[in-house]
Amino acid sequence: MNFLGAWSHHLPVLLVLIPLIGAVLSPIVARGSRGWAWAFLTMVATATVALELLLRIRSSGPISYPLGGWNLPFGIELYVDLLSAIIALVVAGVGLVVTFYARTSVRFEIPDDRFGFFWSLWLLAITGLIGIVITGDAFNLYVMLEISSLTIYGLIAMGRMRDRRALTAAFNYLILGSIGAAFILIAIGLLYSETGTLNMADLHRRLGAIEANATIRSARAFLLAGLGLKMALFPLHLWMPAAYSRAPSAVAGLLAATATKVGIYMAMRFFYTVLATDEGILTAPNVLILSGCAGAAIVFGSATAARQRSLSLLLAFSSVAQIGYIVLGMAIGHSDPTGYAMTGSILHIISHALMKGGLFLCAGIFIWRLGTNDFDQLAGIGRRMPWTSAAVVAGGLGLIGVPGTAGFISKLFLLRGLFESGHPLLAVLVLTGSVLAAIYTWRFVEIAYLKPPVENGLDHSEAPLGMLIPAWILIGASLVIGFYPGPIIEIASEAASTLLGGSG
Amino acid sequence: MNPLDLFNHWAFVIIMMVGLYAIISRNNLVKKVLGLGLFQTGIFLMYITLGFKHGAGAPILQQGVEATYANPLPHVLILTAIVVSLSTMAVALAIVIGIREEYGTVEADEVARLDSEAQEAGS
Repeated sequence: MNFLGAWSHHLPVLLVLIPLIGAVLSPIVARGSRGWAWAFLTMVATATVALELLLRIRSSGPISYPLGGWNLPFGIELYVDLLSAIIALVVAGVGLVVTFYARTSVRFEIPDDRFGFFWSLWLLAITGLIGIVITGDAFNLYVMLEISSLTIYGLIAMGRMRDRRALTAAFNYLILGSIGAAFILIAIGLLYSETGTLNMADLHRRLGAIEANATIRSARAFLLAGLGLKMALFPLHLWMPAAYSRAPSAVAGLLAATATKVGIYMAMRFFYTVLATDEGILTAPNVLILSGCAGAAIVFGSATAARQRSLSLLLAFSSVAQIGYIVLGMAIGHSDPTGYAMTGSILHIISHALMKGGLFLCAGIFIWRLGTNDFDQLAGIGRRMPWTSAAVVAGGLGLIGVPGTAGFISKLFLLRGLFESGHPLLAVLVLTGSVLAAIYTWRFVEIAYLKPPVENGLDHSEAPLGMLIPAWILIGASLVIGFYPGPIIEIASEAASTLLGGSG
Repeated sequence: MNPLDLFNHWAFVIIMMVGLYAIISRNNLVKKVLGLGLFQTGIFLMYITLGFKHGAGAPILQQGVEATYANPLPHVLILTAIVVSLSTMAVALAIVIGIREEYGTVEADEVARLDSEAQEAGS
């Protein structure tokens, strides 16, 4: 597959440039409904490049791309290894599907005269998220992080037409997100003051050569706190439920699937590559903090999800728990010689992106039809909107981890890793989380299928295909992975062993 | 060591903490945004201090002159960070304007009260 010809060695930079140029041109070349077509084309190109990049890296190893031809480590480097390529493909792929969905959903959630800006912000957010994943420069990572964060605050605030509380959600996220990003900036500055370099590979080399001192230790502390805020790790998740439940539904789908995943990618990159020295960041107390927070996230998130009154909030709190699983696998990954925990963590990033993305799209369909997805309005919806409800149930089964879903595969690896590395207590927490997930999924089943339908004079017919198809693509993909997990497991375990090899 | 040698370090920590305190303690959303700005300014000072050398001048190459010069890289980095901070301010203030339009107030507790009243009226 080489249709790019001479351009093919520019693939890494194209992955950022295509959505960036698309975003800048969007309000100029495309007004009104043409804006969607422009954004969709941009996303098709981005996703194609991401797929091509992943295939290329699998066959011929990581790619380093010096921007502007400046010598490394002085110039800015784009560095794409298997893990970066996987997450970039998740962002671009899910982004493409959600863009398809957004064509219908933004029409009733965004004022017409804001379409041009909406698509511009949308593509910029994806630019930033992909940029974080493929950059090999610590300061560049901060800039990309702020590009994605600032646009995401704007996108959330655009939910004000449906629910004015979107504004307060966006404001709170902005304050907490900026503090998180500022902590990351401080950490990068402290590391720079100790090593005199910003290139991630070079940072790793030089940090390995010096004794850890107070500067490096405080850099680690700032990183832990900053990344914790960005990936919404319990108890730093406070911004997340409001932001996810009040944002326009397409934005909620995009965020739930990609934004926190990219935060976790940053943590993996820093903990396992940049800071992976002899006395790395994953010291005993830090592992205890991370796995403790992750365990608390699993139990608290799932238990709170079961008590929510609307589908969006239920899904948002379930995300708190699912992030717990991913962080758990990452935190104990280095003490697990078999690599199962890390593989499970990477697999769960993929499967959760598909499942939760699809579920938020379904939640958006209910909002489109009923103006709300509060449970008291959803009574008996299973008979009136059978396809949407079935998608929610299929996604919910994935969150529980029922065999035949992607969630089962990733949790299986995670549990094996926990047992192999001697953490049976944490394995019990993971299973508790699954039981709680079964409770909150059952709540939806009970309301949608067992209660008599409410009569509120609203149209309850099935959603248009423009929204239903993308939701089912994501949910369907997670089911396909559940039945044919072979290739995904292979790629994820390869990525995990590359990552763990770097910590040696 | 003379504690004043670390004057800049003390200063940036104090500026940052004042900003952080304002974010946490102020009820007015505009003041929270100002606190955030102060917090980020503290970080700029930290980066600029990193490039400092005693008796060093600007990093300008001159023929026949050999002088020590300050490290320009942190300064360049902080130019970028200033732009980021400016954009953050702009987005934050735009959201505050939106809140003012929808709620008619920029006090955090007023907004929370209006939200909970609306929720009670709705249920």
